[in-house]
Amino acid sequence: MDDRPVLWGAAIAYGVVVLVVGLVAALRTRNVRDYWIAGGRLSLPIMALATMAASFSGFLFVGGPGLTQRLGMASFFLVLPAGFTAALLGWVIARPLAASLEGGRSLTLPELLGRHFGSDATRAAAAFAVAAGSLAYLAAQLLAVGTLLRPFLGGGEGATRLAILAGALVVVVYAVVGGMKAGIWTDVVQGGVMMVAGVLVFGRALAVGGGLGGLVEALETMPETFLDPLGGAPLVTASGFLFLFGVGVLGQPHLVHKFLMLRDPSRVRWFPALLGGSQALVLLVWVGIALAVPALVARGELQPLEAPDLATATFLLEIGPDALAGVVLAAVLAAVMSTADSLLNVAAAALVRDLPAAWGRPVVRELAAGRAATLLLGVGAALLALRWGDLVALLGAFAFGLFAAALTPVLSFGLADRRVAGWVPTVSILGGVILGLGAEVVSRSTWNPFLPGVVPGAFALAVSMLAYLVLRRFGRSDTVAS
Amino acid sequence: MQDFRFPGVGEGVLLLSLLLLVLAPFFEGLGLPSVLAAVTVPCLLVLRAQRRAKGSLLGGLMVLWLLLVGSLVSLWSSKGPSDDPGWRLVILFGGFYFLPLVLSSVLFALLGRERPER
Repeated sequence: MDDRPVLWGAAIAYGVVVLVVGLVAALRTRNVRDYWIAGGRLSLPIMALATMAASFSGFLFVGGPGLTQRLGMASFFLVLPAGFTAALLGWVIARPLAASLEGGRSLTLPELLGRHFGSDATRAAAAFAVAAGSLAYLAAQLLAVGTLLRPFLGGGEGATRLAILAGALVVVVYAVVGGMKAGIWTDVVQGGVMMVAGVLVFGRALAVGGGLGGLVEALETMPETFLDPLGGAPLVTASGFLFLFGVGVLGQPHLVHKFLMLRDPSRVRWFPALLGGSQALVLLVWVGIALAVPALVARGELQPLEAPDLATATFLLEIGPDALAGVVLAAVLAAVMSTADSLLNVAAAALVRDLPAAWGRPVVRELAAGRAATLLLGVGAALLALRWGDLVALLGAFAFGLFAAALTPVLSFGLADRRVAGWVPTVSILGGVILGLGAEVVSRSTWNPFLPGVVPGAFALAVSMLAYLVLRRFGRSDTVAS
Repeated sequence: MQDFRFPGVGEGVLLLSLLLLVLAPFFEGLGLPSVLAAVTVPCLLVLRAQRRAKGSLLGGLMVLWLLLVGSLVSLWSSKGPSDDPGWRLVILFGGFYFLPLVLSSVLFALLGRERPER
């Protein structure tokens, strides 16, 4: 740590800035509306930037470049859907919300669904899905911090534990005291850091690689089929990535929740441009590292990686000057924390607002209970990350797919559908949770029935959407829901 | 906005696309159709959201878009018109990422406004 003062200075400065911004925002958190939806009066640019920060987790910076080392160009099918998902969110989620009354009255996604379908059971099922998926997602985020910082802290289990605890401490402090109001303003800072890092990393990658042509020339000398349209992966992997990350984004509660925070939900005209434009800048981190590291290995300027997931750490330690490495390190922490604070908030709301209300016993001191739940969830996720590393890796892989399978059908079909009986969305959500978990577990078992390269979450999402369309034929309601 | 219905054959195409995506993990020959299905599902969701005349316009644009995607895939698989090795990256990120990003953002800004029903 002593021999990289600039790098560690940047990381510590980032942590201090985020804590200060979070704590200042916390001073303005006075009621549950502030705590759950940041007061519900956000402008579109702030909301779009916070959505971008929450949409990109630690996976983008650590797992993404690692995936490209393994699969070549096929890995970019996971990134390409971001070209249209912003508009998809606008058309399929924002427009129905703008046209309905429920959006302005609801503080959480399960509450919105419960009102829309006129069903407490739907609200409870959605709350269960949000809480279960968020805990897994959170633990995976903290484990990503541990994996990334481990080589910087001297390696070993002790280094991983220290990094996990430090990351959890920062995010839990501001999330507990400031709720979503602190979350949004730290997301804005974090989103800014991520965009700056994207531009700097891509510029550095082009500089060391000899431009785009130089990078590709080096990659063409690799023995593997790195630059083939599908890399080394089968077509079903490409279609799985396209489908899961293109359509499954509609079911991510920490993103959809942001639409409830808008001052005027009908003014979302430039949402896709703002979200998509900012995402494009941040994705340059993945593209830059994913192309530069194998190109430099192919030229013999870098040693071959011990493991694909070390691509980002290698870039930081070997390629970037310390100042750039410091900014990128801060950006990785920003990506993890911005996703983690959103997940903490939606999960705590599901536990203290939605589940008790669905059972007819709303919590009286909701703000205090929300803070306690946020703290417990943060501690629980840290313990999960510390105790069961392998299990957390599995949980992290299926968390996106679980949200997608559980919530995408009811949000993409259901928000535009009032003539459906309340049991249909309830069964769809619970079935989606089981499908999301089941597909991931089965794909890792010895009796895996899938072809090689199948993305289990994409399979679960397709089955779940198909099931919803079939179920709604049996569950048509003669009366329009409230 | 009270009933979830697709215009024309839309719901049939959606069901077929989802069925393909369900079966593709078990049958090798369904790889390419499953890629087309993965692109078709979000297009249909947008078409459903955009009703009446604007929906028809959007539908026409999407057919053009699918044709463009097909051409890009064909170009991407070939050597390209020049010896520049960066060609595939330009097709990949320019054609499959930035073009849809700009087109979908502009289309949403032009067509995606919603008047509240209340």
